[in-house]
Amino acid sequence: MSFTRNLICKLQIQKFSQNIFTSSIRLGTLPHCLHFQQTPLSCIPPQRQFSLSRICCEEEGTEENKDEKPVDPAKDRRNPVPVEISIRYLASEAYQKCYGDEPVWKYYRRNHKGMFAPKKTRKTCIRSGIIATGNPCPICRDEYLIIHPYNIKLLEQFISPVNGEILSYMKTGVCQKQHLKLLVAITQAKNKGLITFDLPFREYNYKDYFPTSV
Amino acid sequence: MFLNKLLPRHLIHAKSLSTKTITKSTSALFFKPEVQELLLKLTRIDLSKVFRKQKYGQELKPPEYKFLTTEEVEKLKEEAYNRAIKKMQMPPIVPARDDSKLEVLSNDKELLGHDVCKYVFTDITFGISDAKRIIVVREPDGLLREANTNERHRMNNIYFSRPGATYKHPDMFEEENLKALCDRKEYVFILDRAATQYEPDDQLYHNILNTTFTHIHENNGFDHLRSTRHFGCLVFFLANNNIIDNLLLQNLHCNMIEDAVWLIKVYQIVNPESKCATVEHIQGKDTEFVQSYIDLDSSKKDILSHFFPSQFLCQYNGIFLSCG
Repeated sequence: MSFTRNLICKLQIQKFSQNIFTSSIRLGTLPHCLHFQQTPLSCIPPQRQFSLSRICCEEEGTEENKDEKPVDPAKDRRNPVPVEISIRYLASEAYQKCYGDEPVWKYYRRNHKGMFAPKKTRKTCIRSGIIATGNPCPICRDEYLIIHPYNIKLLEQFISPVNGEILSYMKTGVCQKQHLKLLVAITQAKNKGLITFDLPFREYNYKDYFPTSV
Repeated sequence: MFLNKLLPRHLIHAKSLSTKTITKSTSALFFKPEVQELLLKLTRIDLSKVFRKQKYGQELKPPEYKFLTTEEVEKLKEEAYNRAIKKMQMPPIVPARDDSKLEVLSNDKELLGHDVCKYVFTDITFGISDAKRIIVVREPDGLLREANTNERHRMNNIYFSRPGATYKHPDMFEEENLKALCDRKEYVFILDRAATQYEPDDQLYHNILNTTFTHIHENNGFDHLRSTRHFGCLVFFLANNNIIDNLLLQNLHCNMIEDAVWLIKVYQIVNPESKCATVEHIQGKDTEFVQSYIDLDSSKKDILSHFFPSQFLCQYNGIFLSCG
């Protein structure tokens, strides 16, 4: 008796698996069919089910991508602009027309509810290569602004002309991801000597170097 | 400790410039009080340049306003000048440390293979300067020796890090980056950073100074260094290498006959074997003193002597000769 039951069960599974290939049935619907037959689940190799279902899911996933709406080219950041173009852009007339002599963050205003802005800016403006916010930060909103140690004109806008410190994101409104990139790029540029800065005074004790001198 | 790592080659073997190496005797000349005094005079302290706003990223304080009598103002001015002189302290010029002749303290063959790495012992007693701190290295083969320059730099940086100095050697001192900086005339920045980064007896520091000073000399960028702490070192470098003519020419151009005299005095002290070393300066006869140098020692005689008579006349006729 149990043998015939098993046989029926296996046939059922075969039939079912064929169904899976042809139709796109979700993983969640699988156990229902089996439960109905009251077959011992122990004799069904679970791996087979999962592998099949995975194939189904993958197929579904690819189909979804095809169905996706076309991305607004203004929000598409999947192919970033090379640095050379960014450097040329910062020296160009178009940039001058857009920003004038002010730094790029000057006229950016953060969106927030209530009177006070949250302490930190948002984690990132760009998710999986597409702008995911209505008010992207001053660097994310312009696709021609690329942070790089050689892009000195851009980096210098984020260094205070008053005391030479790196400006806070509270002031510039840059998102956390871009701010970290900025810190790294400025450090690299300083290390390479592309950005000059003042160094603290080092006092020498001449006695250390020449004992007889006063 | 990763002391087995060697310095990048290009940093050590920077192109050998045809400049004189600093020996103990030249270093002694630099520390002579009269030389120090002359170098300080040549620096021509400009208070507005010395006390310009420094940007270290510090919090700024609002300025203080006071009502003072004329006497008090004079007193404060003097104090400010004294502070400026302290700021003009020149980085010492000392011979480079020779890493090939390290002192061996003991050679204990019993310790051979005690470990696979070197052991570094540093004296971190309070109040000892970086230059004099005792640092020794025990090699895996049992040799106990003095630490070399790189090891000293790393140990000093770990225990007593200096503000502005980094553990790793900055990329800006690589040959191409340094050349780009020189072309941008950022001499003061290069020299300041080199002074904070390295000890004065470091071979790398000497290489950087040689490259920068040679560039300044070739491009007549003396004005960039005037009224900074490095101008004295520049003058000493020029005098030591017998290439003071460009600076002298500039001094004469700008009607700074006094500076020309001081410059030649430094040259005489540094080069006691030169022909003009015996010529004594008599007060009020500056032009003759300079003339004697041009006749006896200058390598650019024709340019200098061609220029000099007109300068001579101008000064005595009281006509202001415009620079350049």
